[in-house]
Amino acid sequence: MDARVKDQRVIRDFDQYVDERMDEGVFRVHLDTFRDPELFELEMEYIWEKTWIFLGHDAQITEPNDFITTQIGRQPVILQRGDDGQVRAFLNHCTHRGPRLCKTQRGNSARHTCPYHGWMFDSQGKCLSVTDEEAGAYSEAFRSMSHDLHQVVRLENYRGFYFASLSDDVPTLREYLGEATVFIDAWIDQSPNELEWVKGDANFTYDGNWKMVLENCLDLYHAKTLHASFGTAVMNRFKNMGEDERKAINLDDFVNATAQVSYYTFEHGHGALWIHNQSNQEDRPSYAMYQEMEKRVGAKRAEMMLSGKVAEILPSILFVESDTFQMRMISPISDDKTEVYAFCLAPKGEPAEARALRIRQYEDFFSASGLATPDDTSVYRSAQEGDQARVLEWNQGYFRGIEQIQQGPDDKAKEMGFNPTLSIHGSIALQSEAMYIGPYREWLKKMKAGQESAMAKL
Amino acid sequence: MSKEQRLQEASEILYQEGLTLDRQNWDDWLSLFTDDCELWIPSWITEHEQITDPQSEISLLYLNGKNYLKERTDRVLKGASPASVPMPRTCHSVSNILIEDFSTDSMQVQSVFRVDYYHHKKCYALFGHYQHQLVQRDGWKIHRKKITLMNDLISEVLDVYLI
Repeated sequence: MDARVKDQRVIRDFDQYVDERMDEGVFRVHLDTFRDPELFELEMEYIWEKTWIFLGHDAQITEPNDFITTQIGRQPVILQRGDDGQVRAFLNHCTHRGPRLCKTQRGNSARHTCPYHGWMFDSQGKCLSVTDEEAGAYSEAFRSMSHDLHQVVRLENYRGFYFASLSDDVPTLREYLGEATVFIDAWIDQSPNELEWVKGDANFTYDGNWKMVLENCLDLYHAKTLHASFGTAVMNRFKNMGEDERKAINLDDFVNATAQVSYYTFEHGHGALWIHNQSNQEDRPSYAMYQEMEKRVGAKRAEMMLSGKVAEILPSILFVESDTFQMRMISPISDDKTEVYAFCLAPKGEPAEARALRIRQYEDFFSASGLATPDDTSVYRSAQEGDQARVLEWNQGYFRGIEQIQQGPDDKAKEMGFNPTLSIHGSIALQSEAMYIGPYREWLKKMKAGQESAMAKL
Repeated sequence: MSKEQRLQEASEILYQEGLTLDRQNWDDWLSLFTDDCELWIPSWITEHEQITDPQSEISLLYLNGKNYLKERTDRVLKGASPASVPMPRTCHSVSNILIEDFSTDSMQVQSVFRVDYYHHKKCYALFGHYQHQLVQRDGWKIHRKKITLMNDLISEVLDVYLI
C-alpha cells in the first residue's frame, strides 16, 4: 500500500470488536465487523493477505499447462500446472502494464500473451519476450530486472488441496492446517483412489459480509426454522412419490434430538462440527463404498467419513457435508458483498447410481437454485440490512452452548486421537453457537498482529 | 399441417408460460407441462462449453417430473421459504421463436428469453436460450424445457419462477 496512505492510518484498538468475558459468561462480536468498509479493507490486508488461502484442487489442473483463475482476497491469481508438471501460483497481472493474462475461469495454455503490448510468458511464468525490446532504448536498470510473472511467495498443497500465501511470514501449510486435517482426510480417504472433481459451475453471490457464510455453515440452530420448507418438501416427497424418491437430509435428526454433536476449534482458529449416530446413513451416496472403506480404514474412521460434518479452514474455505459433500471457496468483494465458488469433489470409482444420487442431493440442498441455500443467502442479506441499525453495537448470537465449552478434546476426539483446543459436545438439540468463539479469537489475534507488523514497517 | 401453424401454436404456449409465471398462476403454469416433464439448466464448464450429462455432472437445476416443479410452486405458495418472501415481481420476455423440428405430435422449439425481476428494491435480469420440446397430449404440453442461462453467477437465488 502507498506509504502516504499508511501514514494517515488510524491505529485501531481491535479489542473493542471482541467482547470476551468468559468468567461472566459473555462473548460478543461488534456489529461493525460486518458493516464497516474500512475494517473490511483491514481484514483483507491483515487476514487475507497474510495467511494461507485455498486456491484449488489438483483434480482441476491435471494436464500440463492447465490453469484456473482465482483470487487471494481480492487479488487476481492464476494457479497453473507448468509444461514441466510443476504447479505454480502467479498474480494474474502482466509485469508491463497489468492486464490480466488469463481471462477465463479455467483453460489450458502453454503461453500467455498480453493483449495490450504483446509481452509473452510461458506456463512456468517466465517472460519469453518483451515486444520490440531491441529498439526500445531501455535503461540498464530495466534490462537487469526480471520481467517474469510475480509468483505468489508461498504455495503448498495438502494431499492435492492447494493453498497460497502472499506473505512469507506463515507457518508451513501442514502446521497451519494442524489437526483439522483429520476432517479433510475423512473426505479424501473415502476412496482408495482419492477424490475427483465433478464438472459444472454453480457459483453464487450474496449481499452480505464474508463471515456470514462461515458462521452459517457451522450453525445447526437455523436448520429447523430457516430450512423448514426444505424439510416439508422432503417429507412430501416420501408421501407423494414413495420412499425411494431422491433421499435427502433426514430432518428427524433435528426433531427427535437423538443425534449427538461435537463442535471443535483447532489451532489457528479453524472450526469443525461432527454429527454422530445419524439415522439415515444408508441413504448417503458414500454408503455405496462403505464396506470397502471400513475394511481399509477401520470402523471408527469409516463411521466418521459417513457422518455429517463441516470443517472451516480460516478464512477462505469450507468443507461442508450435510448429506453430500461440497467445498465452498469464499471470495470477499466488500463489507456487504461476497462471492462463493462451489466445488463438488467425489470419491473416484464411485458407482454411477451413487454418483447420480450425490449430484441430485448436492443440487437439492447446496445450490443457489436448490431448496436450502437460497434461504441462507437471503437471510445473510437480511442480516446485513438489519445490521444497518448502527445505534446498536452487539447482537446475542454467540451465547448458545457457552456453558458447555471444554478445553481440549471431548471423548469422541480422544477416541479418534486428535487434539482440538476447544470442544463442545452435546445432544443435537444444543445447536451451539459458542463454537464461533475460537474463530473470532483468531480474527482478533490476526488483526492485532497484522496492524503491528504494518506499523513496524512505517 | 404447416410450419407456420406450428410456429403460432408454439408461440402461444411459450407466451402463456411466461405470463402464468409473471401472474403467479402456478396451477396454470403446471398444467402446461406433461407429468413426466424435464426442466434442465445445464451449468457451464468453460466460457462456451456446458455440461452434457445431468447424471454425472452438476447442473444449475435438474428437475425430472412435474412433482418436482410442483414442489417449487408449493414452497412459494406457503410462503415458508424466506428466499421468496416477498416474491420478486417478474417479467418474462420470449422472442426469436423458431421451429427446429416437428412431426404430428411433437415439435422442437428454439427461442431466446430475458427475465427481468425486481427484488428488494433492486433490478435484476436473467437471459439466455430456451429449447422446448412440445408434445401432443390433449393439446400441446411442454415435455422438456432446456435453459441455457448466459449470466450464471447466481445472485442469491435461482428458481423456476425466475427463468
